[in-house]
Amino acid sequence: MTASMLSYILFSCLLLSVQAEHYCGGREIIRYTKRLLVDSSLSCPCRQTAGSSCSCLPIPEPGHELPCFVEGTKHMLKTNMSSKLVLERLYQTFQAQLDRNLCESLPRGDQCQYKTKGTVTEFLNTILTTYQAINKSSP
Amino acid sequence: MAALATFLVPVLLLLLCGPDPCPAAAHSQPEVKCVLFNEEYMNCTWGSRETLKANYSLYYWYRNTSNKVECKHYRQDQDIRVGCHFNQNEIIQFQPFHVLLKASMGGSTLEISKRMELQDLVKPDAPVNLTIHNMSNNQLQLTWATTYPKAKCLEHAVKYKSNKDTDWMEISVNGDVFSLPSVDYKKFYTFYVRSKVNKYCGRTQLWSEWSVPVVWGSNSTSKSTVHWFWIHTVLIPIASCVILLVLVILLVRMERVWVILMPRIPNPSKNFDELFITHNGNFQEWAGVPKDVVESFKPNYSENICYVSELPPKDSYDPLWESSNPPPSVMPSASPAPGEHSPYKNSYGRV
Repeated sequence: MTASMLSYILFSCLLLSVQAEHYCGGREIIRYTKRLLVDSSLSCPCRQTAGSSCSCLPIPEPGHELPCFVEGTKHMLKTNMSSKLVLERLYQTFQAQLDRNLCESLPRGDQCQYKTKGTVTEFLNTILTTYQAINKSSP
Repeated sequence: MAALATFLVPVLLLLLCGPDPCPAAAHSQPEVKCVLFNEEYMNCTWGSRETLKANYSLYYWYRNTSNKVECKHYRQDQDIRVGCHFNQNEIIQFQPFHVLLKASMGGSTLEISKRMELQDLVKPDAPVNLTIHNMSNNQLQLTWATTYPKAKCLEHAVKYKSNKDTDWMEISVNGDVFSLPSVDYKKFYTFYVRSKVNKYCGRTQLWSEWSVPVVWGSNSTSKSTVHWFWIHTVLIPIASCVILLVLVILLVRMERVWVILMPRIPNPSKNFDELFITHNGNFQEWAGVPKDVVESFKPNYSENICYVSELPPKDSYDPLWESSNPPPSVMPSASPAPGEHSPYKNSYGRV
């Protein structure tokens, strides 16, 4: 292996690692989230008393999206939902982005901070809006 | 919550209005609708001159701010505020956008608030510079450009048909290139394109207007099509009618042709003109029967008619003929055949 080839490989790895920091997986996350939104069989992931609304998922404050997304999808996985495969994929993606700081557009907050809690639809729409904003602003 | 709001609004209206005219529209409450045009400016409207009667004021704020800002550029229709114009620097997407519309009339005020996501209200401008490229294998490639600042956030729809088609074909396209395989060079195609923000950048349902059309196919094809249309629908029927009319006239006027189609009933009377006119009905003379043969048929004797009648029977007469011998016949000639009509029927006399 010549020196030029080695330098080429090293440069490529560096470039890929830099790109990886900007990898937010926005399109994939948006596709999965829209699939969940269409699935009308999504049930309430919380133990609710009769007559109360199902609002138990955190609607994150700006700058604390990722930890809240991890917490919310984890909470949804605990219930017996039909779209468990998609939820699992979303949860893994959020967890990976949080652990490895893959998405520079999303601040890496440690804890989920929220002012209100919302329904499954409100939570999923928050995920959708967050990643649509990242997509639109990215070059 | 929605049910409670539905109940409270009319009650609130009743309390606010009282004896004074109600600031709300005569028929329904005004609703604020906003559209973000090509991400350059935004117009929010809440009605028209015909439906609005009150004085309106619009205030807006975003999630992260607490100060309400009044609209700086109202849109007016004959001194009635019907909308608000927002410049590009007043627009922030991906933050909850709140508006508060205040309607005041005769001392009472009605407030209508609404929350919106501006990234879901984007309407791009129509695509421009539509261009058709001739590719190999009878394939057409349509390209276009957009004035929208983020082309990657758009999805497109292409609408096309040929001059031989009745319905439009509409195809969704994600990039900015559309290929039409196996086109017919004898046809004339028309293409339109429009755009919409895709799901990766927003949740809008607003399509742009259709673009200016682009056509493909030779002009002569379209001209000849027009010519053939006139020939088929006008010239040929008229020519056919004229020819038919001429033929009918000729048919009526030319007896030779008429006789072929409508032969006359044969009249044999001409053959017998000589019999009735020249020979005065004398068949033998006309037939040429010799005179001596004609004479031989004439009888050379004459007969006198003998009238015989039956006398009524008298009682003194002896029944001389009660025997089997029949009474003597007094007929001078042969008796007529049985059943034959003759003047001697049932009459016989004595000599």
